[in-house]
Amino acid sequence: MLRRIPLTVCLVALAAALVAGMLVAIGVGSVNIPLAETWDIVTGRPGDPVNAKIIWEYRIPRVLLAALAGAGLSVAGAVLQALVTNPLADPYVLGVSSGASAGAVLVMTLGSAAAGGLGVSSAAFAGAMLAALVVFALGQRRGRLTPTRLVLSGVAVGYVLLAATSYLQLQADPEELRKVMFWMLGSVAGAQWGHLPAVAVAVLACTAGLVLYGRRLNALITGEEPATALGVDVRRARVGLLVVSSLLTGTVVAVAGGIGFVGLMVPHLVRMAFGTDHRRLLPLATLVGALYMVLVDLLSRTVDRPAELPLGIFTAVFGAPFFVWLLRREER
Amino acid sequence: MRFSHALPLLAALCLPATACAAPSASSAPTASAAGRPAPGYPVTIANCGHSYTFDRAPSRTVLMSGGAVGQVSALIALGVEGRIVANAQSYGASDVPGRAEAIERLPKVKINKGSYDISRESMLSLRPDFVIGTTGFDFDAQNGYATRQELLGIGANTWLPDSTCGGPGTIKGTQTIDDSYEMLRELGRVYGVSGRAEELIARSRERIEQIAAKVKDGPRPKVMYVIPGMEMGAAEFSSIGANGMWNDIFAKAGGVNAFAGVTDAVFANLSKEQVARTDVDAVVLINWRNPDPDGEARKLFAQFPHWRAARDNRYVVLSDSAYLGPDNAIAVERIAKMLHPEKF
Amino acid sequence: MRLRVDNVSVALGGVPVLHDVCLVAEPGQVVGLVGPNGSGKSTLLRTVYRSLRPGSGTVRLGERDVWAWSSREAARRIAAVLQDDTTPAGMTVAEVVELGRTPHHALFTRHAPGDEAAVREAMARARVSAMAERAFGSLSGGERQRVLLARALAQEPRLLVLDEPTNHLDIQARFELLDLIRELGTTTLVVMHELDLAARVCDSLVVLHGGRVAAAAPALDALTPDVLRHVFGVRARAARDPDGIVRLTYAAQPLAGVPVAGTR
Repeated sequence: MLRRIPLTVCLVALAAALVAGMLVAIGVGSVNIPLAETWDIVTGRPGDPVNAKIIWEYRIPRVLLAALAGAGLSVAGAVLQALVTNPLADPYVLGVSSGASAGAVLVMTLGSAAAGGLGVSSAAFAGAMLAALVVFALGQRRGRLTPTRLVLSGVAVGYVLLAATSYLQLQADPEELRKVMFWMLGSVAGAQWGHLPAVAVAVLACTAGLVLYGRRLNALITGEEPATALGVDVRRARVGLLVVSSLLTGTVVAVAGGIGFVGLMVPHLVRMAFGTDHRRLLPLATLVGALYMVLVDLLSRTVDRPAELPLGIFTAVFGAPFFVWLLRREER
Repeated sequence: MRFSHALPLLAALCLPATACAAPSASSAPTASAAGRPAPGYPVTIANCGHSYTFDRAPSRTVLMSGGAVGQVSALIALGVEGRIVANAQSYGASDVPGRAEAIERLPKVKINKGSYDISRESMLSLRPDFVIGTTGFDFDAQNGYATRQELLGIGANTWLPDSTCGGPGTIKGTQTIDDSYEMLRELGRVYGVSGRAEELIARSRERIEQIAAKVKDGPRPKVMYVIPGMEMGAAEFSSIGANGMWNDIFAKAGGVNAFAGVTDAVFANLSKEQVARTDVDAVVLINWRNPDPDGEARKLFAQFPHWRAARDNRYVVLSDSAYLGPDNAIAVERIAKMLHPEKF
Repeated sequence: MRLRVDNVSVALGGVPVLHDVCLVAEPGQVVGLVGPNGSGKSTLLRTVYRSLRPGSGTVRLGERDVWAWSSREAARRIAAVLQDDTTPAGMTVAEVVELGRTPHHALFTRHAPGDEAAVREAMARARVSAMAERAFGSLSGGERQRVLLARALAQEPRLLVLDEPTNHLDIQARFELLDLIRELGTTTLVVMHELDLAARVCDSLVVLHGGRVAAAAPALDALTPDVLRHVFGVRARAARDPDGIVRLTYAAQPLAGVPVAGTR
């Protein structure tokens, strides 16, 4: 069983798979560039300047952004699942993604003045936080979180935010609307080197911190009262984790738009294969999420070459059946 | 998504007549490879705050924005369609005989669904030396498209109508037929066919003046400009032209837009009630990828039988002549003949 | 270590739940907390394992108020096995027991010396060493409770708090678990439902009734016919049998006309 393999071995193997996947994703795209030439370009040898530009300016940042987005959403999902002690939680189910979308769309359609001068990214983060806070407030009963209540609140808040986003879309002029729609479906097609540092810092710093916090996450999933008895200040932990998962979701949603189900699917797959210990789960989910997203993005730009399709379509096609399967499994 | 067909065309429809911005100090590098400029070159065009210098006529032109045909039509009218290596603009119909077929024969390129544009990797791999778009959207990195700066980096100049350089919200003012002339003139300079451009402009002017003179003293019927099947907003009637080039065309053709006053926007977003309350004497129905434009007219008149337009069954179907492009004279003539048949 | 609860009162959402509750558990004693549903047993436990701060009164372990500790400090002294535990079925027994080391770690420390020894010893004491690599979800109810007990022992507590640990267990598993608890020698506060079992295993019983202490004494003295009738609504008698075990003998019919206290 994979769970008996030491973490280091798993990490090295997955990292190798990720690197391989990224190389394939850099080598293949909507445009054909011979693999030998791609390799020359990647290794810094002079090549055709246009192909070099395609590889360096477009594909590499795109593949990196896909990897970061996948990692960020997977970690956010794993954290939210621990946070609410519910395996069905993910940024989408809990309305956090919808909050981020609403924030971003607000700025995209009405300008940053409408969101108190925030940029698209900050507005996405603020939206994610606000949504999470409302969901948590509604999900409590006598000061204690009820998982079912929480998920239902998430769904309700998500719908309200979706309505708000739709309303904003109606206010938009057609040109803005095209932009918003493109963004809502999720894509890393617009990846630029300039976007990467902020996302990388957010994802890597949050993940590293959470791995160190893994022991407490393990305690948290035993439930609110048992975790308290294990010495975890549950309330404080939840607030902190909420901020971190909103930060992750907001950052990713701001640059890559609405990509659903990744935060639900990846942590589960990793848990099933590698076990529930968050000190293993989080670093492994980071790599698996990154690999998954790199491959999904590769698919999105090759199935209908040279046209590209939005990512959200694929993650939903793979994720929704998984969600249903998970629901049935949970019922047993 | 119901918006998806509609949006690219809109870009072409919305070009207002605002003056272009002054070229900024940061002049763009010359586009062509090393070598002496061709005779008559270099030509420098100010566009969207930058200046673009051409050392020779572009030979690898790429046309963005799959729902518009104004730019590709202009290139065909200028006789430089041989310099197109990829065309994303297509429309399926034209008011000019043979035009749709001519566009169909151009080298095609696969475009992203919904946005009707060419993804950035494909764009670069086409190795263009000149890329023509319709709005800033076509060059926005956030949408996954190559930016103007990136294209300059591979030696490609770019061109947009000056009024729609920016992204969302930059469209203002109302365009006129002169915008079409301006486009012909600038592209004529770029390709070194200014003579041909001036000739087209002069011919169009002359024809429009003749028609305008004939209908000058007649009554001014109220005309509705509508694009059936295209939805620009939430309301039932969202593609009624309010403030666009068509108003100039109506004026020359001896009519007036029935819906010009309802909004400051380019398109009016109206309910059925609001439409019913407006007097409409004649309808200009734009065929945008519509299988049965006459059926659309019948449907419209069945809904509003109290209109004079419905009683007289007065409408004309146009496609590409009633917005930015080289053939506005056709629209003026056909609308004038519908409104004032007795004068012809 | 001695647990001492003095005049603890608690209100939840404005509704008073505990009134001036006092109890003492001497070092090494097993004190049973009994009472009908809604009498405040679980709430009292929460004030002990530091999940709920009492409105007034004090909970002390040794000489210290438990609320003077941080939650982590407290969890190194007080461990709990609770009812609403959602430990994932996929965790191995060893992983579950290792969770008990959580309070021995600062926020970001990874491994502490003594972790392994403590886990090993806890598993041995709870007799779950043989199933260390099994999935928690594959265990029987009794085994699970022993694993959770091992987790609590891995905290190296001075006080164990158990909330109905024998609930839903087979009769054999109940006796095994209770024997185990007796053997541990740790001061224990245990909520129990079955009076027979409570009387059998506990050094003394605290009977809660409507949030107040109705009796606090060794089983035979606490479960007087009067207490049984007024608190539990049964006509019954507790007596020590020749083997020295306290047994309850119930009358055939429940007591007519006496409302069962505490049920809502």
